[in-house]
Amino acid sequence: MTVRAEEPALSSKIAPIHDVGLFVPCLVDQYLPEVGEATVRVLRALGLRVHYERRQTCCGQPAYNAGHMKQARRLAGRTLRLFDAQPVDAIVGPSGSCVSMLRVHAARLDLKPRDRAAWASVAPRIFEVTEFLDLRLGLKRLEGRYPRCITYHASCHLTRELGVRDAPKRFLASLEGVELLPLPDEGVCCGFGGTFSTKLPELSMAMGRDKLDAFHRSGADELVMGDAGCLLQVRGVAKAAGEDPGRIRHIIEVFADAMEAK
Amino acid sequence: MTSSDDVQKKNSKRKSSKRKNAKSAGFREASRRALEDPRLQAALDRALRVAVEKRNERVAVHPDWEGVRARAEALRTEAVDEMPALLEQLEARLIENGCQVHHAPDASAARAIVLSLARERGVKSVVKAKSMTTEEIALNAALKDADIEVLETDLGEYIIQLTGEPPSHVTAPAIHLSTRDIAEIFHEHLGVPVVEDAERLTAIARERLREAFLAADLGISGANAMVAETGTIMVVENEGNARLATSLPRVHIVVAGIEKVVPRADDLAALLEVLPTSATGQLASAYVSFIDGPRGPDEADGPEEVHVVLLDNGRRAIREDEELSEILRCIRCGACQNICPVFRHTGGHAYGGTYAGPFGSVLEPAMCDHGSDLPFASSLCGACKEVCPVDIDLPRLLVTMRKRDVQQRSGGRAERAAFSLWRWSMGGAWRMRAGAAMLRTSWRIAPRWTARRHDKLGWGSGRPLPAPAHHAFRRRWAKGESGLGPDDGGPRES
Repeated sequence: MTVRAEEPALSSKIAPIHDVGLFVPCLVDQYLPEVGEATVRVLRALGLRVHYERRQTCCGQPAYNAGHMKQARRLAGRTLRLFDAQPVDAIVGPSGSCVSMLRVHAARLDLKPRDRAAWASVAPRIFEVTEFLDLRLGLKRLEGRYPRCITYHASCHLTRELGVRDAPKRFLASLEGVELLPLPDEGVCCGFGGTFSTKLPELSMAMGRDKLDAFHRSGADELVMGDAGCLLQVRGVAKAAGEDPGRIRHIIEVFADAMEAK
Repeated sequence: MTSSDDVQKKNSKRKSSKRKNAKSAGFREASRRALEDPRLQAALDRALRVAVEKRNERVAVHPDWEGVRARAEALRTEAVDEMPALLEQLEARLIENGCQVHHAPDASAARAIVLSLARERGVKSVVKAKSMTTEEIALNAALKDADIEVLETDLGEYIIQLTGEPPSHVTAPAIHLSTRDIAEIFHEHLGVPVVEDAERLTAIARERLREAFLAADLGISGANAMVAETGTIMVVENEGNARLATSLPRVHIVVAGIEKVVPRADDLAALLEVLPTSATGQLASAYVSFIDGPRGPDEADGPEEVHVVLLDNGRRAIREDEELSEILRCIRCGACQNICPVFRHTGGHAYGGTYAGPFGSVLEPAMCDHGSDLPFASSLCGACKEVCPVDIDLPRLLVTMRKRDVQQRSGGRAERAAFSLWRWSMGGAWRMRAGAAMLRTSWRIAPRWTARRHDKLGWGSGRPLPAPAHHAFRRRWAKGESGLGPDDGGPRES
């Protein structure tokens, strides 16, 4: 993956870290609060102090994807400034696409100078949560117990824009008792795509069903993923197909449950 | 500007937005039809899955895929950056080689040039190698109207010529058809019994094509690359039909987009490493032809005349557009079409124009002034960018096209208003809480109505948005639910 000039190199894990700010994407805040909770549980279990900036709302990704740059600019800028003002070493969020919006895409938005300054300060230290555990904390494995048969869906932005490929599976595989099976077509898009799901709902549904079919073919009991949009999409498709959406879990919830089971 | 000019401008804007909005219904409707066609779904899945697997296998064993990809990107970028000088050099070398060069500013000019060349030479029949550029300029229909017989000689193009369909993929024009479909088509149009056997069907086509090659007055092809340094035209193929079409008839016409130019003969090596791998997962194509002009005085084979029609048709304008010019690097390998999960379900016809899939969704609206809805025909998953052998940032280009569509669309007022309102409601935490509270109330007191509103937005059956959680995260934190809330002894919340 070529690294372009505007993508900041991530902070190395040399400096010790005590305080992290939570990035709770709007979808997590309103639809998947338990994912936010699980993030807090995991970070605290690893000895970190967790701060939550209550004025945060949305990173602006829906507007950006739909081409409404003015709106995207204002929301991304606001969020970056709020995070920059926090007295924390890093900002961590349980959703690859949202972190990518603030780290990668915000740079393309022709931000106002003070928003640009906030981006320059935040971008090198904002992480998706598995990326944080891997790159910033330098963890190789997690101490946890999860005796289930699971498979992993590689979310598009997390994999292709943030370059997070191996760490999630490595952490999952390190859990005691876990059986991690490969997911056919692991990296194929689940069909959410933000506004894609409203503009082309039939295609979105078809792609979601493909993902569900792949889950069935994997033979695993649970499907695990690291993005809020993917989670809502695939759970929604499962429910529409009369299946139990509880078998589809966010990776941070798996980590939290596993670490507490030990 | 006078007021009547203003009115004219407004009227033409409204008219064009009506046209655009009418076409905007195009992709979604076409994709619905594609999804409801099980034969199409099966054919596409089978063929494209194999194409991707083969490509991945080849890349996995390549000693330095990223290296050769970087070289291909660099030479294509140079070609686009230096295009004016390179085209001058190319033209001079082509003429030295004995070719005749023609400039076509647009599709209509290109058609006129080809027709005039054909008429002047009393051409009655044409054999064509596969050329998406000739599709772009709608050449076949123009030749037919001039009572000139045209036969497509690429097997896939030959098949769809029988049914009158356009190609549905940039390298595999009949990818939407199964062997069974083709057997039935041959039965209906050629009168042969239904024979569901690929080799036998190919043999039937070969027999008919052989005669046509030998009898044709004119062969028309595209070009995969044109070398400025040497005036060489390169044609890459697997069937040998392009080799025959460009060497047997008396006259050979090349129709090529100006962006096909490359600086040096050495550059062809990098292209020949990435093109077959990306297109079909082959180490090398079966036939590669290097055309250096018409038959020489001491040569036994080759056409007596070679004409090169250099087509602009919007390319120079894109080159000047900083945000979009990288699309001209495209070498038409089709890797993006093969990997795209949307294309996998729709095939190329749903895109309604010449070029389809990820690269087509940029080119059609940017260059062909068609398909304003195509940039939205993507979930922005980024798989296309990952496989592009010349590293075009397709997702970024698609977002750029979306941005321009929002800026230019006068019919998108409702959506702009909706996003403004949404942005306002997200502009502050209390506003977001108020909006969320309204949403929760709506679900609570009128669940069926609310579900219908979601359904109308395309979010039917609770996918992807169900009713929001009872208590949002921010509320749980504020109320200290489940152990949430500020850490004891930590710094105060900002």
